[in-house]
Formats: sequence, structure tokens, C-alpha cells
Amino acid sequence: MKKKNDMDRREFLGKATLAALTVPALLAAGSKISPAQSGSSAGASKEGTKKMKRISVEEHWGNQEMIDIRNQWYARTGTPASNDPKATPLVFPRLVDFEKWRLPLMDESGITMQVLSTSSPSIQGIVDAATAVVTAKRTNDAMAELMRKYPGRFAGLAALPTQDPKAAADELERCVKQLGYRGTMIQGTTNGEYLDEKKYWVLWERSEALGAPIYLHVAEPSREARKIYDGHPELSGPIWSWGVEAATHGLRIVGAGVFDAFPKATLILGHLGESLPYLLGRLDEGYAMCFKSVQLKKPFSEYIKDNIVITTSGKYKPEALVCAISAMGADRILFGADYPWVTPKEAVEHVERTPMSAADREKIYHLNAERLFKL
Amino acid sequence: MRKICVEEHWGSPEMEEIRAQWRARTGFPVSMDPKALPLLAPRLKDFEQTRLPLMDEAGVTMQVLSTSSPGVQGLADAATAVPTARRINEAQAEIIRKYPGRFAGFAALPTQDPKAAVDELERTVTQLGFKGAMILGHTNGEYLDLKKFWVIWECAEALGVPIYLHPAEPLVDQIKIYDGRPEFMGPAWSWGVETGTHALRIISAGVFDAFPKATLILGHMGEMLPYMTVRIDEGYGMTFHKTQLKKLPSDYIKENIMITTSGHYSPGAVLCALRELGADRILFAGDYPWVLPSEAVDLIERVPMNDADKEKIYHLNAERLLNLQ
Repeated sequence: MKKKNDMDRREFLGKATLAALTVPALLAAGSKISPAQSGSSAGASKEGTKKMKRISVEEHWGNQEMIDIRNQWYARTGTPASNDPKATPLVFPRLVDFEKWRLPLMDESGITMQVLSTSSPSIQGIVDAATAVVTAKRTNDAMAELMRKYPGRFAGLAALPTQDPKAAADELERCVKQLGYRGTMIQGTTNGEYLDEKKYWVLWERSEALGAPIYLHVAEPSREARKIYDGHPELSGPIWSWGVEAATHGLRIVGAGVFDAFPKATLILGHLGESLPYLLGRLDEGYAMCFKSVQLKKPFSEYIKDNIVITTSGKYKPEALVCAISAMGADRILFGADYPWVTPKEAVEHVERTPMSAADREKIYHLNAERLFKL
Repeated sequence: MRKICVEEHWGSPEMEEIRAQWRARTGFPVSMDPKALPLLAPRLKDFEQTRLPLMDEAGVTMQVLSTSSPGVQGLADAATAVPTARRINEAQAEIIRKYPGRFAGFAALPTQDPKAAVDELERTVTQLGFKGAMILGHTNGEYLDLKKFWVIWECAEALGVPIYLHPAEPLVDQIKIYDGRPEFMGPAWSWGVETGTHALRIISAGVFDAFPKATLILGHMGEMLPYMTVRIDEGYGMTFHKTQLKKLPSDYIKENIMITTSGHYSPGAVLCALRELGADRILFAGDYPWVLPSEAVDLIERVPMNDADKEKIYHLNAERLLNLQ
């Protein structure tokens, strides 16, 4: 029981820390830490690839409104805070900043461009459609301003008010056609609903028509599946529960036949495909044995290879990236860091340490992103 | 080359009855389509018509047998579980005696009563020559990291035998995430999630700090963990809720967990695990009757590896871990 109280106290402290977060305070806190302490030093990779363009595609930014949404969402849902800001003191300063941290860190590691997206839970953390619609518009306009301010350095994935699927599709179209966005990032479920439900197909349809992929970002499990973590809050978060949730969400989208209806639509999964590339054979075999909600036109794993593109975001062993390349092919993998959780330098090192051909490296660093996002 | 495969199920009318009762009691929906695998039930019970010929055809020297799911873990109460486990283990010992050199066994344990489970593990290992135990997931919602089960870990370590953690269905009130999509409840996805999570619970509870020589076996290429080692360490490093572990989570994955090739078809995944864990930590397995011996061999043969590693995976590791001659 002592342990439980201890945990509650730590959790409370964590929430208090988060609630006290303001952008000016974060920037000030960030400026107290010198770049020398940040663990970032030049020369991430010296061998040969310095000149190669690098476009990283899961790169978050935040503003006060995003931080407020996050705190309200924590309070409303009772979601236990998992990540201790003290373990990653630079994450929040780096999230809100552009000139002190982000651009220098990009330059240091030869990152030509970041494809920006909001930070979790973003618009998906809002309950009602009316608030979500205006907040998404405001957020996308703010992000477009950042892209204009630093020409050539940033592209964007729009935040969408999925609480109203038709409004989400319209906002995607506005962002793509008027603001130059390349797609959207959706942060898990919307009030417990997954993107395979028919009401969201209008969004898939528009995404396909615009050639604007949907990046499905990790989130906390929402429908009852949390009992397995009872007594083990340490397994919630990037360690495990987020990946399970995102992969299950991705599987639901495939299983619903979304890609039979919209064969040119693209779903992007971060974190090396949330384990799916490790499982392709087993997925096909297991799928064949079970009752199916929908009769798909192709073998299950074909959709994973044809309609899903994965990114290198998060931290993995080179062995895992080799596995992903063998499962998906180098054409289906995009370079991503998951800034500010992972630095550009760490992301580059992961790719550099992985044995692959120079041609594949070129695809992963930029050619695939250029093709997919029409950059 | 000798080939020993270590996740090979057998069945009996009693096990079928356990499964039927478990389903009736829990209301767990049927997600597997029996029409997709018409040969499954006969192959589970048979030894001479199909099992031994299929083993011979693929050059499988020995199967290490275990019950089929949910096994004794599907029973509600200890009073039933204790004699049932004993009866099943006796029957399995009889099969092993009947075909000398072709079979070894993992015990079924009545985890509903941890002390009785310990006694049964000790009895089956010392008197029946079993090589460890297979536990088929949670016991009525309780996972093996709970302190009440530590006597089983203690006993397994003392006897020098491994515990094979087999997939199971999640609890019936935890499957809302699969609403409308039954195709992901089963081997495709939910079993791996359940078992991978169960293993992480065991690690982070400190079981392997308390019993550093205990070995947990995970099938299905380690239920995703070998792909995730760095992310697991990284995520563990960020949480408020770190448990007091002596080492990084991935150290336990590499030192206390052995994985098997059961139920997998992707050479890339085997290569990933081989590079991450090392050839000493991987055991050959089929997952009979779901996967045939020839399919299991085919997977290993499609993975680029040297003959020394192949020997380890096909038989040397099993011989060492399970004390087989």
C-alpha cells in the first residue's frame, strides 16, 4: 500500500508540473540548459552521407493551446500521466521552440526539412465538434504561419476535427489546397471511436482524392483494455500500451475494408510500424483462421505492404529496421525522429547504423517522402 | 541434424471439455472458424496416423508436448484444477513412455492454487521426467507477476526448469477494442498482445531479480518483444512509475527469456531476433497442429544463418535448457 501512495504522489506531482507549463516558462527553462548539457554534439554521422537530403516526418510542435488541451484531457479522462517530465527535461522546451533548439538540432544532423504535426492528444483530445472545428482551424493556421516563416524547412500534417467527420474532410481539403499541407496526423481515437467506422470513411475518401496520407499517431488505449495494466502503470506509454493501441487501430482500418474502398489511400504508422512488420506471416495465418467482419479482396498482409507506409520514429535497434525493410521493402519506409522525444541526431544514427544499400538509404531519408508528400 | 520442437500441443476429450466449459463460463466469443482448420482436432488427439509421420517427413526427432489451450488455466477453481492437472500429466507421461525418444513434456499446472502448482511441478519433473511447465496465460484474470505466484518461479529456478508462457484470450470484459472485428482476436493479434504484456508484467515486477536463474519461454518469436527492446527501455526510462529493477528491461529479455519460432512465417523476424538476442536464446518450435513440422522447418531453412547457429536453434539449445540427452 505504501507503494501505491507513493505512486499517487508522484503522479500528482507530475500532473502539477504539467499544469504549470506555459510556453514562456518552458522557453525560459530551456534556456537555462546549455547546449553542452543537452547531449547534442556535432558530427552525428561523418561517413559519406552528409550531402544527402533528410526529411523527417514525425516531428511535433506545441503551443499554449495544445498544452491546455492536454491538461484538460488528462483531467477529464483521468488518464494516468505516464511520462515523467524530469526524465526528459528538454522535451517541452524543444516542443514549443523553433530557433534555439529545433533548427540548430536539425542543422547539426543535416535534417533538411521536418514535416510538422501537433503534439498529443491534440484535437482528438477535445470532446465536442464545435470546439474541435474552430480549434483545428486555428491550430492549422498557426502551423501554416511557421511554415511560411522558415521557407523550405517545414511542411505540415493538418490537425483535424474528427468529432465531425465531414468538417474534418473539409478542413483537410482547405489545409491541402490553401495552406500547402501534405496530409494529416490523427492522434488515436476520437472519444473512443476508431477510424474504421463508416462515419469516418468520408475522411478516407477525401484523403485518397487529395493524395494526402493519414498519419495515425499513438495514443492511450481508450476502450476497455486497461485491466491488463492493473498494478503496472509503468507499462503504459511509449514502452508498450501506445504501440498496442496504434497497431490495433491500424489493423481495424485494414480489416474494415477501408483500402478495398479507397485503394489509393495511405495510412502512415510511426514507430517502425508499431510491430506489424515483425508479424506479417502470423497476421496472414491468424486472419485466415478467424471469422471475418469483412471479406477482403486481397490477402491481409498485402494491405500492410500496399497501403501502409511506416516511419523510423522512436528508438529501435538496427536489427528491427532491417526486419522492417525485409517485410515492407525500402520504398515503404520514411525517415522520422519523433521530435522532441527523439533528437534528429539519434534518428540519423539509427539509420546510419543499419546495414542497407546507399540507394535504400536515399529512399528512406528523402525520396519516399518526396514522392508520397509531393515535396 | 537433430530437430527438437518445443511448442507442440496434444489434446484429449477432457481438454475439449475444459475448453467448452471455459467458454460457457466466461461467455468468450468464438473467433476461430473451425472450417478454416478441419484437420486441427483430429491432429491434436492423434499420435500414430499423422503426428509421427509428419514429424518423420520433416526430420523432427522429438516434440516437447504440452496441452492445448486453455488447458488447466481454463478451470474456475482449485479443487477441480488440482486433480485435472494430475490426470492430464499422467496421460502425457504415458504417451512419452509409449514412444521412447520421440517425446518429452511440459507439465500442466493448477495455478489456481500456487502451492499445489509447485507440488505438481516438482512431482512431474522429479518423478515423470518432465522438462518444465507450460502455463496458458492468466488464471482467472491473475497474471504470473503477482506475489502469490512467486513460489512457482522459486520452484522452477530451484529445479532448473523453464516456464513456457502460452498465449491466451484476454478477459472477456477487455475486448471492446475488437468490437466488430473478431478477426483480430486470436493468433493474428490479440494473443500476442496479451502474452507480450504478461511477460512485461513479469519482468517489471522484479521476478528475475528475485530468481535470476529462472527462465521464461515465449513462443511466436518472443511475442514482439525482440523487435521492441530499445523502445521498451526508453519508455521505461521515461515513466513516473519505474519499478525497482536492477537492470534494464531488455537485459531480462535477453538473459531470462528464451523465445521459440512457433507460429511464425517471416524470415525477417527470425533474423531480427537472432541478431538481437543471439542464437543461444532461440528454440525451434512448430506450434503443432496449427503449424506443421514441415512448415516450421521451412521457416528456419529460409533464414540466412550459419550451420552452428542452426544447430543451436534446432536442438543444442533445447538439449541444454531442457536437459535432454
